[in-house]
Amino acid sequence: MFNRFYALIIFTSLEWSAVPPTAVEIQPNGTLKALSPGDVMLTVRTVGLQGNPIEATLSFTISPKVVTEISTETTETTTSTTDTTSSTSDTSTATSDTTNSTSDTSTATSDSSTSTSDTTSSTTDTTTSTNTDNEDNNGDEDNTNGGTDDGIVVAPQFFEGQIRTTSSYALEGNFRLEHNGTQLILSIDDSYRASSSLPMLYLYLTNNPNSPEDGYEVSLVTVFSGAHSYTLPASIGLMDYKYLLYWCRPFRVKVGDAQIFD
Amino acid sequence: MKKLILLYACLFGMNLQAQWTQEKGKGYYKIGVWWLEADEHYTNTGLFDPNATRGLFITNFFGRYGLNDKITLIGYIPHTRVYQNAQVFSSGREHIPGEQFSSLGDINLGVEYQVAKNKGWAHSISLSLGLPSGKNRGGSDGSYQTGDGEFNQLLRLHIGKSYQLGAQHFYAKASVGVNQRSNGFSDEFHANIETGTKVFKEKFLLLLRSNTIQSFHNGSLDASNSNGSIFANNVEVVNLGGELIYQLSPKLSWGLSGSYPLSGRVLYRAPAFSTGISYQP
Repeated sequence: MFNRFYALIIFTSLEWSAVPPTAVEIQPNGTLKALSPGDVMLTVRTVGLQGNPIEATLSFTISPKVVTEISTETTETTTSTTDTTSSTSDTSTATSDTTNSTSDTSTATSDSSTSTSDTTSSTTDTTTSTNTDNEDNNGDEDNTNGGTDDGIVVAPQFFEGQIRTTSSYALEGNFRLEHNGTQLILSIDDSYRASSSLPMLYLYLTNNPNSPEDGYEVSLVTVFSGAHSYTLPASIGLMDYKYLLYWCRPFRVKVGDAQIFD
Repeated sequence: MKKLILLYACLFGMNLQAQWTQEKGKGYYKIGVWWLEADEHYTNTGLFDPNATRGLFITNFFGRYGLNDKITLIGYIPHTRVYQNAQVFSSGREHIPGEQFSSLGDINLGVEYQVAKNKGWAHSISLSLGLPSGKNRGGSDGSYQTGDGEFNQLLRLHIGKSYQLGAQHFYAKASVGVNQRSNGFSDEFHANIETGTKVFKEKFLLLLRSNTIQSFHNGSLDASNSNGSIFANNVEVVNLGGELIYQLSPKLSWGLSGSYPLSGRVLYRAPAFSTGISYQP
């Protein structure tokens, strides 16, 4: 998705948790796998660019869903348990009800409490329905992302742009300033070219595109072509500086720049 | 860049009185100063960009001595001061203080051999050795260099001719040479031409000269492998200058000269001036 700065947003180092934790299994990419029916509160946390915690929560209910073929499967299960328990009809009822209404989850739970074989059936139903529920959960997750409309502020996680010369020295390339969760990484791609004739060319992060004053000195430039990157201190936030500035220190002149954001 | 500037000072000094070698046991000695202040420079593309005002001030001694009628010894010893002016901002921003660095510069020692001299023509060959006696890093950021840190050998062929236009007597001389440089520096082609005549009842000697240096671009040194401290590689220039020498006495003279780089690469774009007293016993 794109934020208001027209920069693509990605999420890094997200910490997911659920209450109760046994209700769902959370994949690293945020995909949910429902394990048991019931109310679930899902929370996702990360650290903002300023070091501030950001948290979003979503509550939803996991409901057993059984499609027709699952019902058949359940029936088979029920059949296999017919000889040992009288709750077969309950299970069938539950299966039937579940198909029609999520409120019957309690019925299924009730069944589980009354019959081991029913519990097995119920579990089977839930696991199976996970496949169905996954789609629902993904849908819920999409809503969470869209939850920015619900007041959740999502900070940009990287910026991209072009480096350009402002002098007669060659300087060009594309950059990407990205937060890896703990630090900013300034990556410059393989289209980068810079003149190696200029002495002591330095790279700065600044808020004044014409001066390194009050800026952060990234490094003396020692790479003059090709992809390379700089790891910035954790104290620097993604939105602390607006410009990359290439500066010839002995001559105290600007050689080139790049705008990080408006 | 500074190396080239230093080289100019050397060349312009050494050109004077060349081609006609010294007589045995006689010499020519000059003490002078050479200075330049620049707020822009030629970049490696041949265009020019601004820079914080920097200056060079070189106090130098130049001498020639005739070992015999055919062989002349040549020496050039500079003391170089590199400085940068303080920067003051009208916006109220805190000023940036200036800085300077000075030391012995790169010494040049050479020998010139007279190949032939007849009917107003003079032919000679010279070899000049550039010693890395200056500092190739100086000042707070290392860029206040007074030398390039390399040893070089400049081999040149010279030709000189006396001629007359009407009643006015002139001389002309030219040289071509190759400067072989070490430590990753590119070799260079050098060429110089000069003409002069005496004016104002022969009290003044007026000279006009031009020289060029073109890089062979065969060196490996640039900012990528020199920690950003190098100014001097692949410099090129076409320079035009002149000098006025006043004969104070039969043995003493005073000179004032100026030059300007008409084009160049990796070179300050500013006029350079020099003045000095010469003694010729």
